[in-house]
Amino acid sequence: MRHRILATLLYTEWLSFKREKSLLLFTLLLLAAGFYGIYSGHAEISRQRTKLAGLEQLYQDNISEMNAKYPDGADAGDIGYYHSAFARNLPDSWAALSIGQRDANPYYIKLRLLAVQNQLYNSENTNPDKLASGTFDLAFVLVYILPLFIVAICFNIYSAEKERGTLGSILSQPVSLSALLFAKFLFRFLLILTLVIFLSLVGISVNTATADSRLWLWIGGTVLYSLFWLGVCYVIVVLKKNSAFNAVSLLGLWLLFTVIMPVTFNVIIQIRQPLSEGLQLTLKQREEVHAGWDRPKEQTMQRFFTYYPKYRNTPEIGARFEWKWYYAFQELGDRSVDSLYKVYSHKLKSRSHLTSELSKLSPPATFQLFLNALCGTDIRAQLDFMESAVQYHNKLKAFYYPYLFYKKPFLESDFAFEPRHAHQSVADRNAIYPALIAMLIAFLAVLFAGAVLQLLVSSEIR
Amino acid sequence: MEFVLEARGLCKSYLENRALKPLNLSLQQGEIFSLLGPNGAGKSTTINLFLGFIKPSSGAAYINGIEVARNPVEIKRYLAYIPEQVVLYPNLTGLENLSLLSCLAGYRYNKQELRGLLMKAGLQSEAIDRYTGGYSKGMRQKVGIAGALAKKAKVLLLDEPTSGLDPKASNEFSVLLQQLSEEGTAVFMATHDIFRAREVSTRIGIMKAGELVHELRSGDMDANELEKLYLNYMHD
Repeated sequence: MRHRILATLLYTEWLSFKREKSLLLFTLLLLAAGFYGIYSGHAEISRQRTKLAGLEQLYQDNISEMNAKYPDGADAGDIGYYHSAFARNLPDSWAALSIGQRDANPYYIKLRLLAVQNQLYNSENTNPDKLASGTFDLAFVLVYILPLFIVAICFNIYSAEKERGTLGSILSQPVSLSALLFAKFLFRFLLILTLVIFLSLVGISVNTATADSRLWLWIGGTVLYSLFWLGVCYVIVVLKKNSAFNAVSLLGLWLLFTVIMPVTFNVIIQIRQPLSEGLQLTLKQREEVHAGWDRPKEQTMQRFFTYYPKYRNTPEIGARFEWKWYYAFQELGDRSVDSLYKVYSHKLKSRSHLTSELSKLSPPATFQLFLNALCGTDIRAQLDFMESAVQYHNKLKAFYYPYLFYKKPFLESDFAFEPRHAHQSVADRNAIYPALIAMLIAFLAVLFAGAVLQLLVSSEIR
Repeated sequence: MEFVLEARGLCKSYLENRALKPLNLSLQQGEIFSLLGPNGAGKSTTINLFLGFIKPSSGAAYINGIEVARNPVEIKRYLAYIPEQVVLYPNLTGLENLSLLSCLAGYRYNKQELRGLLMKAGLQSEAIDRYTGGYSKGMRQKVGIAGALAKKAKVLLLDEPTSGLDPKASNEFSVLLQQLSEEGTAVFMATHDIFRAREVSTRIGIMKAGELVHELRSGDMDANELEKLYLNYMHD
């Protein structure tokens, strides 16, 4: 009897859905936004992949140029100055689904043997307007547009029946109000489930993302996030207010969770953890490098040898310009900001930690972080790449310094031994489960709030 | 004798305002009771109490011997309700609406049976498969009546059923009510229509300011006398 009533109510919802043009329109809009998100994310990552693949050609061209310029072998100092190598941040196969930090931060870095600190932050010019709004990817559709869709199909679940007058007809049958609301929410949940699974599968197959365990995490997280928003609608619906009130309050909550809270978190983070080291670091390193020209050469070399005692017994510096002295004060420039750089990196990490902690209060922010973590595009992945670029620069130094200090000529064939770099972004597994748990708690909290309100609000139907 | 509809000291107050003063009333199978009274007299409150949509402040309403407030879902198996504006799902057909109502009531009818019920309730056969968004009030009422037939309701509650109906539709409606009554359904309706009430009912009550001030058998007086009596009460 009970499940027959449920089946009847679901079937009625289905008939109404099919024939209600506005609902169909909302569904088509969500699908259209989803397809565009998938396309646009795919386009951005394809562009990055093409660019990354093209770097190899630039690199080889540069080597040919060097060989043409120095046909009989070169001073490694010239090579270090005029030749550039690349640190590459290769996207994960899921990256196009959630671009995350990959559009706002460099995904490759052109490196020369010079001081590394001011090379790390050089990147291509991008229209800042475009960066401010972020790339329109599937994650954007799921985080921001899906809740609007859920609100649009749920805000008047009760009030529309009441305002139209059909509530009396239904409730004069042996059906309780709770059963009616449950059926309506269940129908909408099934609709949302179908849509998000469909969009996710399309996104995954278009981008040929590896269908590993992340497939389940992606879908599970999205379902949990949808349930949270259904719960928010439930909280407002059980108040039994009119449609206008419901629509306005749900849009207000959407604005609160997706815009106001994240902006507030940003302000809190800026106040609680100011990051002045970035500028200090750049200035100090630059001063140190420039001062290198004016300092006595011998003093520079002695300071350099404290870091590289093995080169202490190499030929002394003459009065003329010598590359090894030049690179020595470049290196000293980096060394002078070593501790600042450590503080800076540490602060970036603890900022990202604070961000994810605060974000737990806003399910959209958590969900965005969750998707970025899953796709290897979060801050953590970006910091890992920067770290590995610095390591790569160290390898380059270790490769070139012996040529400089032992006065070995750099031959055409030596390029084959130059270290190469490619960093593969990976999912941030440590961030995935805490985010899922935070979303689960948020869902249970709204469900609980709704249930309490349902008990408090008068059960009378007038 | 078992009563199918009964009020025992049924009373409803909103804060200081007494919407319904203690009401005692009972209806047997097949009786038609009309409740006359001006707007705000408490007629709709009474109906909503029998439906369990609102809870009594004291006393109790019974449908088929079952207390309404304690079993708000169960009593609806024996009860059908036709509000002043019968509202159906506008984007379902008459047949689909009836199918929905009867399924919710726990009955499974095939299309032929549903069609038969709608025809019995007087709906034109060509209207059955049209969306009810385009139905007139009389047509929607007929779907409501078919719903009552479908669930074999023991009690039918009606709120101002004839307001807004043309005389022909109004007459057809009276005939339908009498048919239902002959089949044993007790009918309780709130109405302004003294003439119809006198014609169709077995008993009539006059309600004023939440109180049932007069009760009579409809054979006791003719329509003119009834109108005079009603107006007398209202002038006091």
